[in-house]
Amino acid sequence: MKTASFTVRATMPQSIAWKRAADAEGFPSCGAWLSRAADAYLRLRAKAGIPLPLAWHLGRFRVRLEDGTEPELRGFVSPPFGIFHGSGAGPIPQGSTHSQTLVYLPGRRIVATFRVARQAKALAAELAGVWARSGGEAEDIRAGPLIERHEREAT
Amino acid sequence: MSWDSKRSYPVDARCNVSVKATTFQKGRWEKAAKLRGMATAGAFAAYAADMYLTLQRAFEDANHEHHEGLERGVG
Repeated sequence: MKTASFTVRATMPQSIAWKRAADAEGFPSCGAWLSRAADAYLRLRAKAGIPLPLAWHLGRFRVRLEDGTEPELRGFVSPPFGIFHGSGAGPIPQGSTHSQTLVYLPGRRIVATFRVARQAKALAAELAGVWARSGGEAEDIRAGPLIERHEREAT
Repeated sequence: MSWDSKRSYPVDARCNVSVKATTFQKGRWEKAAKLRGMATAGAFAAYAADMYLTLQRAFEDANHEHHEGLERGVG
């Protein structure tokens, strides 16, 4: 297994607290404890259902539209989610029509349509927690009440 | 640890902690760091370690209070 080594800079109070925790939990070194603590923190966040910050970038993805077609559209992507300008009826190539649709990429499924992308991103951040709890392996995510709340708040 | 036991250190002293991780772990920490606007995986590891200890203490305090409450209730 390939490993990477790096250093973490810390203040003296920080390193003392980490060393104490490492000793108390029986770790051979502070670095070994730090590695375990970083992973444990990520797991705790995912289990607690706290919205996960997502990094969005421009990209292309396929979406199943209401007419059954699956075109490749341009939009914002942050796996496993995408956002395109349009609705279930199809993309809106130009104009200022307020219609931004959140898509669950593994299933190419439309999750919800909002007036602005910010609302779609907020729902994606909450759904990312649900997705992380399922280990990121679920073919589809079912979070009906969560989606309904976001749609209610958006209108 | 890259520092030795001494009688005292300056208040603003800093030290380096060596961490070994799998490339998968490091990649996950780098992604988490980027999402939080941190520069490196090391910065995220330091932040996560502090948060882990804070959450652990909060849990222990809440647990302690809960048990004390139960004991008072029984008494």
